[in-house]
Order: sequence, then structure tokens, then C-alpha cells
Amino acid sequence: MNREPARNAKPIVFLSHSSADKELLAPLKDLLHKRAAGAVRFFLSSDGKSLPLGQNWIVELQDALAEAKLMFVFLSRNSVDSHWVLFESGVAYGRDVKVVPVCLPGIDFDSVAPPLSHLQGFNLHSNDAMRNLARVCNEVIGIEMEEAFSSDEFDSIFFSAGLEAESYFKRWTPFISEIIMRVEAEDILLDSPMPRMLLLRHKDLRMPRILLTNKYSINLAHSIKHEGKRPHSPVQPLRFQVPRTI
Amino acid sequence: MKNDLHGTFTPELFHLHAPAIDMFCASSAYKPPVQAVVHFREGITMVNERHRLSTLLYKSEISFVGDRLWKFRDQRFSFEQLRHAALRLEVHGKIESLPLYDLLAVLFSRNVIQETSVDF
Repeated sequence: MNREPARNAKPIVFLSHSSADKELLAPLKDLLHKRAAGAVRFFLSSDGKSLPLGQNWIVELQDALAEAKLMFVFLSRNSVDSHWVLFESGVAYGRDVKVVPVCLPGIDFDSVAPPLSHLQGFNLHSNDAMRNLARVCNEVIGIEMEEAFSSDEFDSIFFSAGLEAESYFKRWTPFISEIIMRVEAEDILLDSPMPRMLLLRHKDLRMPRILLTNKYSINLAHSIKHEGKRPHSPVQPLRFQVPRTI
Repeated sequence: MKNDLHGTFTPELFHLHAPAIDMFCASSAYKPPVQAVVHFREGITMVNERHRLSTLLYKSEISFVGDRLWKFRDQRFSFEQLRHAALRLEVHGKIESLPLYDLLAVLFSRNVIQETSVDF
């Protein structure tokens, strides 16, 4: 069966991933595209750009796999057990495409199961590790992409993924809006320094910078409940909010 | 007179806050139990009729212990319908050791908690 010629002659770097990670990886694709100055076609099947409307999805996917020089296999909680990701990487490997497993925040390469663990991969957990993406592209494709990435570039793409991966609730994090905690004590003076102690403890824990934004601030209120004759009317003499900078 | 300290925490950073609250309680006059309410987002529905819960949780690690309370391992909790679905827990040990991830895994797998729309 004859197929139309490839859309262009640019070398293809295939970004294999779970569709659940498409929002995370679309900005990474855009960043790599910008770095490569458009000399490379980064193929992300789920982003709505790599596969134009009306194109036959499976044929486009096959063509991209056939023409790819390099495949990054992005492993996350969503994709680490994905048969589709294994299938894509198996096809690419069989065509002598260089296949590089890349573990997103929350997945450690040491915990990846075969066959992907037999390939040379790395953890993409910092801006330093992002350098590997560019370096491998440069080596395999023969381009000269700037390899250094700033921590801001890493944070802008992966911070939310890192948070969710480390979160107490892990994969259930997106389903929860907030947790309200309440603890009581008897006979504490109103001007007790204890809430401030808690705040200081948080500072001791060296919270990530993002904690200091409004979105992730802690908001503690110290209220008092009157029992007996007086009505149950909470007042809030003290209210703490983590400052925007420490 | 009782002093009541309460705080609202985001799920993304609760793994950092939980040990801090544990340390604070251990070193202050504020002692457990800590009352915790986990509020789910809009679009998350939860079964809270007793007979349906008993059916859905049959032969699971969650059992009914009476007075609207259920037990998962050693942790008692209740299903609440506040503004949205919620779980209420009375924490006697360390907050850091709460088996919330595993509890939610059982509740989601048994369809006690379900996502009815995706709009995060």
C-alpha cells in the first residue's frame, strides 16, 4: 500500500506517553520545539497538533513511528503499566529507533520493570535532568540544541506533577478540595504562642517556594469556644497566613 | 473554656503539614483526637445509605461498627454529605500514619466514591 510522502523531512522525535499526561507533556514538547528552532518534529500523539484533524490516526502514528529517529518513553503513574506505551516502544525498538525511558516525578527508574528497565533511561525530576533530553536529541539527531534548562522552566512544567507524586493522597489528590483539621485544648491563654510555633515549624521544614503563593498557603485560625452560659460563638483572635516570602 | 485550633489544608501539601501538626500536638497543650474532615471536590459523588454501603463494601477491609461509624484497619470514620461529599475522621494517633490513600483506594474501587464529571 502506497502512502503519501511524509509531511516534511524533519527528523522525528517520538514522545510516547499516556494520554492522561498530555497536558503535562504538551508544554514540554513546545519548549523542546522552540529549543530545536523547528529543526525537529516532536511528535506527541495526544496534543491535537501532531495529528491534524481529518488525518487517519493510526496511519499517522505508524508513519511517525516508522520515521522516528528517537523515542522518549515518558513513564508516570499513568503510563508505567500501559500496554500501549509498551507497544509503541516495542515497535520503535524493533525498527532500531533509539528508545529512552524517562521517568516523570513520582516514578523512579530503579523501580521500572523489564523490558524498559533494560534500556538506558533517566529520572526527569529536576532541571538538571532535563539537560539529558536535549543532550540525547543532539547526539541522535545531530543538532546543536542548547542543553541547559532553568529551574523555572522545570517548575513551570513539572511542579504540579511533583506535588501530586509526593502528595499524601497521591492519585486521589485531584478529587479532594481541602482538609479541615480541628484540635482542642483546655485552658490555654488567648495569646498563646502555639499557632505561631506551628508556623515556625513549617518554616523549619523548608517548604517549597510555591507554598508561599496564595494558592498553597496555609491558613490557620485560632478560635475560642465558650461553654456553659455563653452562646457557642467562635471568635478568631488570631489568624495566620504564611508570608509570601521567608 | 476550650481553645480550638483549626486550619484548612490543601491536599497537595498535606504530606508536609501532617507531620508538622503531629509535632505541634506532641509539644503543646493541644492533644489528640484531631478532628479531620476530607472534603471532596464538586462532581465527586459518594454513597451514604447504610444498606447500599454494606452491599458495596461486603468482604472488604471496611466494616460497620455502629452509630454511623465505619472502620478501616484501626481508623474509624463516617461518610458525610456536607456541601459536597466528605469523610469525617477522629484521629487518635499520628495524622502522618493515617491510611487515607489505602482507604480511598478501597472506596473508589468499590464505587462508594465516584467521579461524575471531570472539571478540575
